[in-house]
Formats: sequence, C-alpha cells, structure tokens
Amino acid sequence: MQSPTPYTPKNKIRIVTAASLFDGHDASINIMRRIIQSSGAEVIHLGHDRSVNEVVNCAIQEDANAIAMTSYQGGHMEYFKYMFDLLKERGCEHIRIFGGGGGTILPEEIKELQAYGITRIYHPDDGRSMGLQGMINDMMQKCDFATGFNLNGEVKRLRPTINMRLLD
Amino acid sequence: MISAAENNPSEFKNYYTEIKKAADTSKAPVLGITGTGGAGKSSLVDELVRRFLIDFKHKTIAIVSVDPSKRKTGGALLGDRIRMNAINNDRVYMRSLATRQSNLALSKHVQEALDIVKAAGYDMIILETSGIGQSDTEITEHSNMSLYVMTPEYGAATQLEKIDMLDFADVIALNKFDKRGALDALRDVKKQYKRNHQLWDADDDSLPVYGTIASQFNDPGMNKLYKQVMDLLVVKTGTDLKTTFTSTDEMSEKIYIIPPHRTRYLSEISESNRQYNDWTNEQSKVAQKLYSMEQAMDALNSVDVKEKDAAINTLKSAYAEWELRLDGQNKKLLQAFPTKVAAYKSDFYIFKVRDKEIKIQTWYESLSHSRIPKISVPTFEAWGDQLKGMLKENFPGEYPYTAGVFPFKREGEDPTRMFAGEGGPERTNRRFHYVSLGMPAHRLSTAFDSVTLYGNDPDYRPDIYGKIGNSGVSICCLDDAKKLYSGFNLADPKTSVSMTINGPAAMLTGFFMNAAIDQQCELYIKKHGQEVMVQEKINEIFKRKNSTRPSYQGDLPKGNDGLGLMLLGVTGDQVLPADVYSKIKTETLAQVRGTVQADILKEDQAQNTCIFSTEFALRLMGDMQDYFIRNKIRNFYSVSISGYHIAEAGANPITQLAFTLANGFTYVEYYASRGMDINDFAPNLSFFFSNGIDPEYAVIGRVARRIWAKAMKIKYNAKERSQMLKYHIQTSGRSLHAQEIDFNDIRTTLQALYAIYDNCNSLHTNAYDEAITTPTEESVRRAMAIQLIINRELGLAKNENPLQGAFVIEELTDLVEEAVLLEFDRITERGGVLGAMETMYQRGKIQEESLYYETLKHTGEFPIIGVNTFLSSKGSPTVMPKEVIRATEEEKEYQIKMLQDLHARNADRTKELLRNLQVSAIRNENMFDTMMEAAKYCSLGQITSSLFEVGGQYRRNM
Repeated sequence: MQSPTPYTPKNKIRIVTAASLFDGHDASINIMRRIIQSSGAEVIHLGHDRSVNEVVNCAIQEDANAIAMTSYQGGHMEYFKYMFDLLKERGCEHIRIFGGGGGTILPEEIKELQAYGITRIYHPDDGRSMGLQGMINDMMQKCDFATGFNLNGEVKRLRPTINMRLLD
Repeated sequence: MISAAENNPSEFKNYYTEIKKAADTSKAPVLGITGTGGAGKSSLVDELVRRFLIDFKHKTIAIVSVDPSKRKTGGALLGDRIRMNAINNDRVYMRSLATRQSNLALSKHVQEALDIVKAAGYDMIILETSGIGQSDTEITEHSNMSLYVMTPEYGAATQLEKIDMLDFADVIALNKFDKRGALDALRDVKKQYKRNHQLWDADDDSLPVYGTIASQFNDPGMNKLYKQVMDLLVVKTGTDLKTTFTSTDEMSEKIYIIPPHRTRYLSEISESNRQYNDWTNEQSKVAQKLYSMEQAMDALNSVDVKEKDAAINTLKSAYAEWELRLDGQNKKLLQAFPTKVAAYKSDFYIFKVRDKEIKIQTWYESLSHSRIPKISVPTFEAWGDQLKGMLKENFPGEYPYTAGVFPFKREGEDPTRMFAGEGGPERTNRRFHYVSLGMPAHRLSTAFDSVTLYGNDPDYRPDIYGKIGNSGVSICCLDDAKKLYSGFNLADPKTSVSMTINGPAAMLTGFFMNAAIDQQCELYIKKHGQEVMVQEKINEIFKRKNSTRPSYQGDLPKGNDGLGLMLLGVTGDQVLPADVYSKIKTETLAQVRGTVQADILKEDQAQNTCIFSTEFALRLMGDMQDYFIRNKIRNFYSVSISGYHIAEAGANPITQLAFTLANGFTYVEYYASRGMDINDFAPNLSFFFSNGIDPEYAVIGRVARRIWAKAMKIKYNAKERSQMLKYHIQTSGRSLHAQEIDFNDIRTTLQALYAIYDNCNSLHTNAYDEAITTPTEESVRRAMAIQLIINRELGLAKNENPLQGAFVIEELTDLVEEAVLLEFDRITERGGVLGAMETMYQRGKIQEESLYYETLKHTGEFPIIGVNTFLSSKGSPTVMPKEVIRATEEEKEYQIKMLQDLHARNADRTKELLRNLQVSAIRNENMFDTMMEAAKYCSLGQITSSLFEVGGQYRRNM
C-alpha cells in the first residue's frame, strides 16, 4: 500500500498519548506516537496503565488538542465514556478523544462510543484501508484547531483560587 | 494562557502586563534544573516533588518542563511525564513546553510560562530543561537557584572543564551514583567545582555536590539533596518553605540485586558451557582412538600375520597411554552403555523417583502388532560416538537431560491444563469444575482480570469498573480465593494450581496458601465433629462485628462438594486452637502443588504488568522463595520464568530462549547472593515458553534443558534435582490470526507436535478463536482435542524420544545453543540482565524483531496461509466474534459489595497488619511472613498501596 504523505497541520497541535488503565499493551501506541511526532505534532506521552483522571488532568494542564488512547484489556466502553464525561465536567469538551484497541473493540461498540462523543475509534479494518499514516492524518485533521485564543477574562481567573483548569 | 503565549502572542501581549504584576507579588522560588540527556532528570524531579508533597501538606508546586522540537518536522516528544509518579496529585501542576526552535535549550516563552504559574499562586516552581550538552546556562536567567544533574559517566576528568553549568549551578547532583567510578567522579566534580569557584581551601564535605540514585526508593542521597535544595532556597529567596526533613550523612549506596563482582555471571555460564562442549569433543576423540586401537588389536588377533604380537604390544602400550587421557567418569559411562541399552530393550525398565521404585513397560503394541519402543536407543558401536551421544544427549532422564528430565513420561496423566478466568470467583470455579469433571488430575490454570493483575481492588470508578472480571477472574481477597478453588482439595497431590500473576504475585500466593490451609482446617473440623461449635463461633464473630457472612453466589456446580466454603469470612486460627492450626498449616504448606508466575524481569522487558520498582519486586520474590524454603514448600514453584510474553511481544525463538534463561540465571544469582542454598531453591523454579512455528521451536526444550543442566552442574555445582529444567509450553498466540480462523487449529496442532516431541512437561493449546475473542467452550474443547489426539492416537508419539538421532535436530540444537550463549555474552557486555534492562536493551531487541516479522508478513515474503497468501475468493476478511463473554453487572456489583463488607468488618485489624508488613519491608525482614498474616484480613488493593509507601511505585519507560 502506498502510504499517504503526512498531513501538514495549520496550528500547533498537542496530543496526549497513553494506554488504558491496567493495560500494558503499549506497542501500538508507541508506533502511533512516533508517527504523530514525525507529522509535526507535540506529543505528551504517558505510557501504559493510566487512569482516566491522570490522562484528563494531563490533557487539561498541557492544553492538548486531543487524547489518543489504546485499550486492549477490555472495559473500553466505561473508560472512554468516563473520559468524555470528565472532560465535559471540567469544561474541556473541546479536547478530542481518539482511540483504538485492535479487535477488542467491536464495530457496534465503536458506533456507540462515537455517538456518545468520542471523536473516532479506529478498527483494524480502518488500519488496513487507511494505513498508519492515513489514520494519523485523519486524526490530525480532526483536531487541528488553535489553542490559546478567547482570552477574555482568563487572567482574572488565574487568581485568587488555584484552579488548574484555568491555566490553559 | 501558556498556549496563548505560545500561539497567540499579539493578543497575549495585552494581558502580559497584568500577569507580570501579579507574578511580581509572588514569593514562589523558581528552581531551575538542567543536565545531560539520560542523567535521570525526570526521575530526580519526581523524587523532589514526592518529598515536597510529603514535607508540605498544604503547598502547591508547578513544574515547567522544556523539551526540544525537531527542526525537520516541528514535532516533539514531551516525555517527562511518563517517568513521574508524584505529579498525579491535585497540588501539582505540570506543563511541558517544546522549544519550537531546535537549537535552544529553552522555549522563548519560558519566562511567560513562569510568570503565569506564579500569577496563579503556586508556592514553588520547578523549571526543568533538556540538556543539550555543555552550554545550557540560560536556565540561570529564569531561576532563583539552579541544580545541575549529571552522571559519573562524563568521560575523562578534563571533560568537566567544558561544562559551563559547573560554574553556574548552585547545587550539583551526581545521579546514577551506582555507576562504576562514582566515588572518583564525585571527587573530580568537587575538585572542578573548587577550581571554578576559587574555593581552594573549602572542605570537600561542605561543597554542594551530592551523589544520588533517584531510581532507588527513599535514597539517602536524594534525601540529602532535597534538604540542601530547600535550605538553600530559603537562604536565597527568603521563602517560607522551610523543610522539616532532617538529613543524615549517609551516602547513596546502591542496594545491589546482583553484587558488582558477579555481573559477568552470564558469560561465565557461556564459557563453562563452551568448555564442556570442547571437552566433549576432545574426550570423544580419545574414546574413538581407544576404540580404533581395540578394534585393530581384535582384528590382528583373529588373523595370522607376521609380527602380529609385536604390533599388538605396540598398540597395547599406545592404548594404555591414551587411556590416561580418558576421564574416569567417561570410562564409567562407556562401560555402562551396553547395560543401559539392554535395559531399554527388555520388557520392563525399572528406575527410582524420590526413593520410590517405578516399573515401566518399554514398548507399545500397534494395531499391526509391531512393538514401538518408548525409548529408542542409539545403535552406535564406536566408543567415540557412544560417548559423544551420552555427553551431548544421553538417554532421557540423564545429564545433560537434552531429551528430557525424566526417563519416561508419566503414565495416565496427559500434560493438559484446565484454563479458566472470567467474571467473579464463582463463575470461574464453575468453569474449573466443568472442564475437569471426570479427569483424574486437576491442573487448574487461573487467569486474573487486569484489576487484579495490577494489584488493585474492584471499584465503582468507571475506568476500573469496566475491567472487573473481564478476560480474567476478579480476586481481591482471601474469600475470593477460597471460592475460586472450592471443591478442589488443594493439598491433594492430584490437584495443582497455576496462577498467572506477576506484580502482585506475593499477595495472591498469600491468599492461595491461606485458602489451602483453611480447607484443611475445615476437613479437620468435620473429621472431629466440631462443625456445630465452629459455626457458632463464626456466627458470634459476625454478630460482634455486625456484619453478614459472605457466601458462594448461586448453586454449587457438579463436582464441587463445597470444600473451602465453611470458613468464608474467617480463618482457621480464629476457630481452632493455636497448636492445631499451626500443625495443619505446616502440613498443608508442605503439600500444596502449583506454580505462580511471579516473573518480574520479563514483565519489565516485555509485558508491562509491573507495579513496584524492579528492585522491590525482586526482593518480594526472594522473600517468598526464602519462606518456601523455611516452610518446606517443595511442590509449589515460586516462579515460572517466562519466555512466552517475550515471544508474544515479538521476539524470535532464539531471543525468547536467551532472555528467559538469562532471567532464570539472574534469579539464581540473586537468591544465592541472599545466602540461599542453590539446591534448596533451584527445584522451585520452573519455565514457561511459547511455541511458534519457526524451525528453532523444534528444539527449544532440548537447548533449554542442556544449557541449564550444564550451568547448574559445572558453574553452580548443584545437585541433580537442580539441574533438571522443567517447563510448561503454550502454543503461540501471535500465530493465531483473525482471518480464516479455522486454519488456526492447524497451526496449533503443528506447534503442539513440536512441543510433545520435544518432551515438554506440560502443554497448553490455544483455541482457534482466541485471536478475536475469549474462547468458547466449543473452541476450548477442540484445542484440548489436539493434545489428546497427538498423545493418544498418533502412533509415533507413543515413542518418547522421536527427535533423538535426527541429523537436523542435532544440528539445530547446537546452532540454537551457540546463538543463546552469544546472546548471554551480549547481555554481559551491558552489565548483565539488570544492566541491560536499564538501557532497555531487551525491549529494543524485542521491538526490532517484531518489526522484522511484521514487515515480512506485510510484504508477503513470510507466507501466512489465508492471511497474506492463498486468500479465499472473498479475500479472507477479518472474522468478527459472534458472542463476547463479559462479566455481568451482578458479578461486578457483588465483588464491590463483598469488598466493602470486608473492609468494614476488618477495619480494626487491617491497620496493624499493614503496618507490620511495612515495618518488615523497612527493616529488611522477610515480607512474606507478614504478608501471610495480612492476606487473612486485608484486600489486595490495601496491601498494594501500603507497599507503595515503603517500596516505591514502578516507573514507566518509554
């Protein structure tokens, strides 16, 4: 398969990469993050076995455009939905969620997750038809938005309470 | 805001004055940290933050970390967070910046970022930058105080003169102080520091240069560094962050797993192996010459030729001369050879196992009335060949055990394990009974869910909740273990249990041992008619605690007589007199059979279910082994040294074997360095390999046994029982494909055949649908049938050494053996297994080999039928599973409720038990003694988190 040329992002994209909680399968996220890096994004890599809270905190503190997760150990429905809920609760719905888990995430589950608000879950068949770079391009396009705008009122919110969310 | 500074400078400008004003009122000190790449900066920062959080309960800290961008792509890997465990705290903010200009060590937005976090009111700020060599002094412009992190490996002392930061840094940490030459480095750095600061008369001890080992938990050098840094910050900035930590004058001292003078162990093994091989060749030549002379004399004797006697006499003296060169043991071997051969040819073969005489029929009759020998013996006549055969191969059950560790396979016991693990303990228990009903031996293999694998308790938190009881059973306390194995007498020699668990292996073993003891207590209670009395006692206990008694959920399955359930919620020592309990405990421990995987080295190299730091995890393993020896636990393997996961992660068979054996020898060295006798623990070690389709898999067991036996005998001087390498093998999961899944059974069959011909000690055959889902009853039955058909139907498999004597097998064995020994040498060059792990040598190699396979598979150079060639008319699409087995809500809810009850019920005891466990860890006493007690009352998660406090969490690698 001819691999497509890397997508050139319009904005500085920052992506948090990790593998799910209690999940040591880090081979594919490591491959993905390398491609993401070489496509020009800044990658904050957390490695394997990360709770939703850890990933969400990181994404907010780092003002990331997106989170790219793998989950091979089951429990992905709860995991991804919880991640979406937590981001929403903290006012960070703009952070997109992408995921993959080989054959462990079934097509109908992918549909359900995407309907819930997860931007995209990739299936092995997507990998076969799009190629690795193709998947990364798709993802980068979907989260190519600017961060650090809409500053109105932000400064006032830096103080007096320490609220990490506002440090975006 | 920080993003705005980076991405939206025009708008940001409007706000910066205001931020600046706020920042200027902040008293937060900025500590700048820089250093060479790979010096362990992020671990060191993590350790500083960890101490800060303990030191100041109400203060906050912000970390700004800068990493370089790639000039070519503009991308960046901001990789500091992966190493940090302490930042997962709501008093910590961390932000990673890319330089966005590759030639700088700092982002040009650093000052803005610092002002923003100051304005946000953080009490302390750490600015960490990537080391880009020797000029990295910009950081001092942004910080109140700077810390330079380096390692003893900077090269010659003159290199120090080039390091600018030695002029500018307020404090210097010489991290990785366990490296060779650390003390010299400390001296040289101090000398350079004096020179740079014109402090010619300063006392060396007063200089702010500290040796640290950030990777080591609670390192004294780190404690000292932290205190100095905080003290100096107070002096320099007048901050109110006055540390309450006291520091000792202790130096950082590495607690060695393998003593430094032993790091060449693997090469010593390869050297001794090779020496043995050379000696074998040399001795065989001697034997061959002797045989030739004997034959010549014989030939001369039987004919009438001139000067015959003179010639014979000459030969005789030559013979005597050569005979001196033949080792006495070898002579004995040669003398015994004909008798040995005859023994296998007679109808029955008699031998001894643990002083018990065993008589085995040596042949099997086929339908055509041929006698198929169980052990086929060589027909060599020449002594050289005979000797070589015996030194390299020998008969099964004899050193070097190439063909097998036992003379014959066990009769009436197929090497078949029953696998289960799904949902709650009850569901898995039902499954165990279902698959083992009517089987003479019960070999129960247990798979745990990922919550358990990572040492956690079930919980309602969604990211945990979703994983309870999925792809493994949820076990978080003693009661769970009791239910899981209920109805199987764990002290029965026909029952053996294997537990696939590593990080929390000691805890699960604690649960298991206690479950086994309580079963025997139950049998004692029944035998002595004390049931009513005991029930009353238990009811009383629960009444006092105002708690309900836990019970087995649902009906007992066929085959489960309820053994193990009487004492749910309590332990034997609560209802029986101390002396009775103690006697039962001693007897039970000596009887239990099984294996716990517990192989932490391969976890770090390949599978990632580490929870503690590697050193601490090894110590736990050592403590467990030590407990096993003291309590005469002889039939339970304390570790299953596993290559399976290494192979599954992509390693080829040679690498799998080399890494696994190397890990095995590392345990041997570690246990021996703790003073354990090799003959006490080596028999408790077992191995676990993956069996793929590559040619080397035909001899993996042969090579493993031979290298191990030689090393044990020659290098470690160990007895026979220690020389025997026993292994379980499982067909490769990676060779199962999601396309044309029917073909998978064919692959599994061939792999199983390899394994059985190679005399594995036990075998697991994968189900064909495992590539797409948890196997179903139907697919598991088919997998089991593969083994049974080979063992019971396949005629040639009635012979137990079918590989011996085949040229290609012998050649392959030598070839793989040498390749493994070469790998040992490569690992030695990297400082042994642990040294190589530090630079992630094993991981790197496994990944490389995985990529090679994937590439060849992708291009089709490596043909896989129904996957990349021989596709069906529909293109052999990926098969989707029809049904997926998942744990039910009811099961999950019950697990959580049961756990809450347990926590509430035992609250009065757990604190003390966990404290005892921690104390034993701190005092360097055996933690398994206290673990056995804690396991009676505490849950898995409670034990894990209490050990985190004293042993340190695992630090992830890239």
